[in-house]
Amino acid sequence: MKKTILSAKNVQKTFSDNGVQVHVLSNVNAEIYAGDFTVIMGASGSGKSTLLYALSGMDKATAGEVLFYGEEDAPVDLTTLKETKLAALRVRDFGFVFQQMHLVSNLTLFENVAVTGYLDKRKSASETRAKAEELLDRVGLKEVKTHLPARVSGGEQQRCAIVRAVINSPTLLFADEPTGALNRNNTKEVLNLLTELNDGGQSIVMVTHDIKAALRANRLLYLEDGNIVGELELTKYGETDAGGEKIQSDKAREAQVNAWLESLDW
Amino acid sequence: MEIFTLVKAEIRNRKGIFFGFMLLTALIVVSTMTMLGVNKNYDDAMDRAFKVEDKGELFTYFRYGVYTNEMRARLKGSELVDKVEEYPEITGANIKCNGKSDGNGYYVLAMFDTLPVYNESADGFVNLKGNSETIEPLPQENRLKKGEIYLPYGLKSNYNAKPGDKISMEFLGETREFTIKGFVQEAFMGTNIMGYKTVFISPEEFTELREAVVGRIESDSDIWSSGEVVYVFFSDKADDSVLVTLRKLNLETKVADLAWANADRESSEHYTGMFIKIILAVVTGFGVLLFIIFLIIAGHNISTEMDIDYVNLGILKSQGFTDKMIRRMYMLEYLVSEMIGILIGMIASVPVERIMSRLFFSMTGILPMHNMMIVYGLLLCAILFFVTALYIRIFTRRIAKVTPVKAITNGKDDFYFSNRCNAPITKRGLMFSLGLRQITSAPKRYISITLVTTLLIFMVITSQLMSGFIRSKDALASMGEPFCEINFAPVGSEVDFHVKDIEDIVLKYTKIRGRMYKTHLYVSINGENTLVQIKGYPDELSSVYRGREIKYDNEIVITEQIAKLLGIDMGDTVTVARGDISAEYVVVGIYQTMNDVGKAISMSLDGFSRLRKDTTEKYTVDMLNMYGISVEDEDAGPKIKEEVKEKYGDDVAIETYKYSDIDKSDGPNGSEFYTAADGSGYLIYALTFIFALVTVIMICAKTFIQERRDIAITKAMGMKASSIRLQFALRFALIALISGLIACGIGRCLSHRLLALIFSLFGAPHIVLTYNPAAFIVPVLVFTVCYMLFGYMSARKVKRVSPRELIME
Repeated sequence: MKKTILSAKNVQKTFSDNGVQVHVLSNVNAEIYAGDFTVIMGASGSGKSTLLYALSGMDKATAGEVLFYGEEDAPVDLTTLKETKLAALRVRDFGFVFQQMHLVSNLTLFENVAVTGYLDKRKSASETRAKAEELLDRVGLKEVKTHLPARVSGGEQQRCAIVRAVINSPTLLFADEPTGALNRNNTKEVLNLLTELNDGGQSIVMVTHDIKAALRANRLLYLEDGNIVGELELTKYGETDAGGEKIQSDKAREAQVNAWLESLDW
Repeated sequence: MEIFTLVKAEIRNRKGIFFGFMLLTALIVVSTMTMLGVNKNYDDAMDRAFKVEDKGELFTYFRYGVYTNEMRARLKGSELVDKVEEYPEITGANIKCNGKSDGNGYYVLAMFDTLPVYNESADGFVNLKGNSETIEPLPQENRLKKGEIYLPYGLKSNYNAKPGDKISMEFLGETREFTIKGFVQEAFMGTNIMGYKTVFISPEEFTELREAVVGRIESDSDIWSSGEVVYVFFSDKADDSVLVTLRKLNLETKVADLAWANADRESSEHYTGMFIKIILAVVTGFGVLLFIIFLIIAGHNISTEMDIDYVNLGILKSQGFTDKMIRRMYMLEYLVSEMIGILIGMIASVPVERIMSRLFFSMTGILPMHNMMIVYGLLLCAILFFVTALYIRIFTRRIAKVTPVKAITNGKDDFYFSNRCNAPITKRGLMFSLGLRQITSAPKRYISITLVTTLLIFMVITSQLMSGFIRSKDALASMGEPFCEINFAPVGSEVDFHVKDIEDIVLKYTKIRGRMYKTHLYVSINGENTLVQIKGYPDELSSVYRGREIKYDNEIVITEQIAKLLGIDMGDTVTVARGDISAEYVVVGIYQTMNDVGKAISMSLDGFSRLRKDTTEKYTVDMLNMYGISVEDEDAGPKIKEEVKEKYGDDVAIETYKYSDIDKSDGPNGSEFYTAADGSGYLIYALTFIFALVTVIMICAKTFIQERRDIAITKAMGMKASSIRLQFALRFALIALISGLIACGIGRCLSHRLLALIFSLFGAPHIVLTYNPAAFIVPVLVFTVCYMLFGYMSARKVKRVSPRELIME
């Protein structure tokens, strides 16, 4: 039985543009489970990024509930949470990776990671520094950790952004098209990193329209006109049986996902 | 048209900055226009006052019997003189009014029919309408009756007097009380800055009093009680300045040597408008400083605006906008804001000018004109516009380097520089270290605000030093105005008075630090009419700063003003004349005094004895008329006063003061001087802080635009809005602190020179500053705290930034 960590109930998001109401999300219901790598797919303008921001509390839903099941006894509704509580949640429970990396431009890669770590009162400064060093080392950024973001490649920036997002060991990692601005090599590096994190138990929710990226997930949600219209369960990416063989080959996964997407008029 | 559309859009998007510039311009215009207006309206009013009074260029007063037929003939015979008007005079002494007394004598004259009489509210005259220069006959109800007196308006504030109050004065043994009928505008010595005054009574009463006083004159020692006031009208041949003409006339006729007192038109204009001119100089200097700050901020804004609008500039260029058009857009944006600021400033300066003129009116006694400064205003606009336009032109030169492709592909260098000098980021004091990093990673962005803040703090430090300086005992002594706790003088010439007796009483209670016993008289030095300070103990409380004090009877010390005026220096021999006696003296030192704005010389008792008719009869310390003793124990004052009163009763007037009461209204100098100085200080503080606030808001707004993305990122990382605001606040506090340190260094090097320049206007160019650490620390701390608050306040927009702004849909 999977444990729900985030639950969207009848989530609606409406924007007003010059008096015209645009309904981007209409009554979205979804569950996010612990340990899952969930991918949200959909055509351009389907509202997938909007849903991600509503789920992560970056933006508030117009109606409905977004319940987070954290360490508290009762779930907290992100739609009614005050800004300071949301800020605390972002420090400890949610990590976020943007499509455009968004590193603070005058902080080095190491500092970008460390500053987020410093915000977490549970760790000492030396623990934070050690963990930042370790994570940056793990993602191959040891040599460039003292560089400013403008002086490293997009892939390096995005890896740094992921490290920053996980420095405080969040319950849930959100990623919005994290490979959208990257070339093929960098895309692979970033996806490998996310997969590695998920293998380590990190719950991830990622928005993408890239099938290669979507293949890394074990659960896919399809969004159309502001509604979830499809859901697909996969085995864990690269999961092996007792003999060390992949339970589901890459090709078989791809075929399964393509067939599912075709059925949804992708 | 397309440019106007863009300008409109720019203004709409940068409302805060637009209004900020408007406010800064308005402040500059209102301060400059007000002071120019006050000054011009004073000059015009003074000019009218002399024209209406119609008493020529020179007021001279001769004691009884000195204005002989020979003197009259010499004067009338001079080709420098057109005509003279002579009026008999009596001198009132021991003046008392509303519980206050005045040691100066007043020249009492029969009422002139050319004197403008103030109406009840003192906003006009009863016999002079509007801006007219033609005096009308005085209405019957305003004419003086026996027992009534008109005082010059300058005396109103001295005595807090109003019509109906009583004023008494002594006429050679006879004390008479008058009812104040009202106040008149008297151009020569109507200001409250000058000690001597002409007051006016009814012709009938004057004739009766004059006869009685003259009848009581028995010896030479009584001739002070009466005399002649002679007004001299210069001829067309007197084409030099009034002062030069007077010197020439004195060399030819001895008019200044023989007269007991002179007041020429030029000097009267100078003394009457002295405070206006000084404050005008200070405010104009401050206005120029504000304009420099305005330009620095404008430069900063234009360059950061170009950074922020970099892509837009490329887009505009790709659409066919030329460099010229874009530069014109920037120019229009600033000039429109400046123009509105000028308009607001000019409108606001009208009531402010009236208020300020009214404040000065109580000092000058001359009713200010209220002409609009249209020509000055237009000239000021033109200068502001021209300088700003030129400046913007220079600052927008780099628009030419922007190419559409480079801009659209964001080919511009990153906002931030290398991380070589970057401050470390630490968990402890995270917000402070992040604030510091913002500064060290882009120092160029903060150069302008640092420069502006440095200038502002420097101004406040200088103002603080000035405030401390004018209250410092040593400083007062160095300016020739030593603080004396015990001040006394004999009342009347008949008193059997011995200074030694009073000194003995003082010594019973405390030690004496120094004595300032003196008399002020007028002599001529190389023909120039000058104040002479005859000092009992010149070497005590000395204000000589070059050369040495007087030791022998043939020595004098002079002020720097006299040295410059007459082209003399130490070692030179000069001729000093009083009446028909003259003697030669050697200049042995340069000293300071604020009396007569520094136009003075000083000599010893023995030195002055050489100018007496009978040189064998020595001038002694008991013959002086101003006595001040500086003591070690200021609390001893009341006991000393009591014992002196016991011994001399009302024959000796004695006042004791505490140094701590120096700036109180009943202090030795009254409160006006300190109020004026403190007022200027507060004005500088207020304007400085308004400027600082506007500057911080504007810089913060720009920084906010530049860092909006970073703010969103840090919010997405979980940083609270209040923490980010705190980071802004700490950043600005740090800037204030750095600027403060620089300002302290500049203050230590330049404040002295700046203050010397200001005090040279008062006649004290040589000042001794005490660098009290509080004068430096307090402004720096105040600025740091204020900048922190201003930074926190103006970063309130952080609340509105949402991580959602980072979303790419």
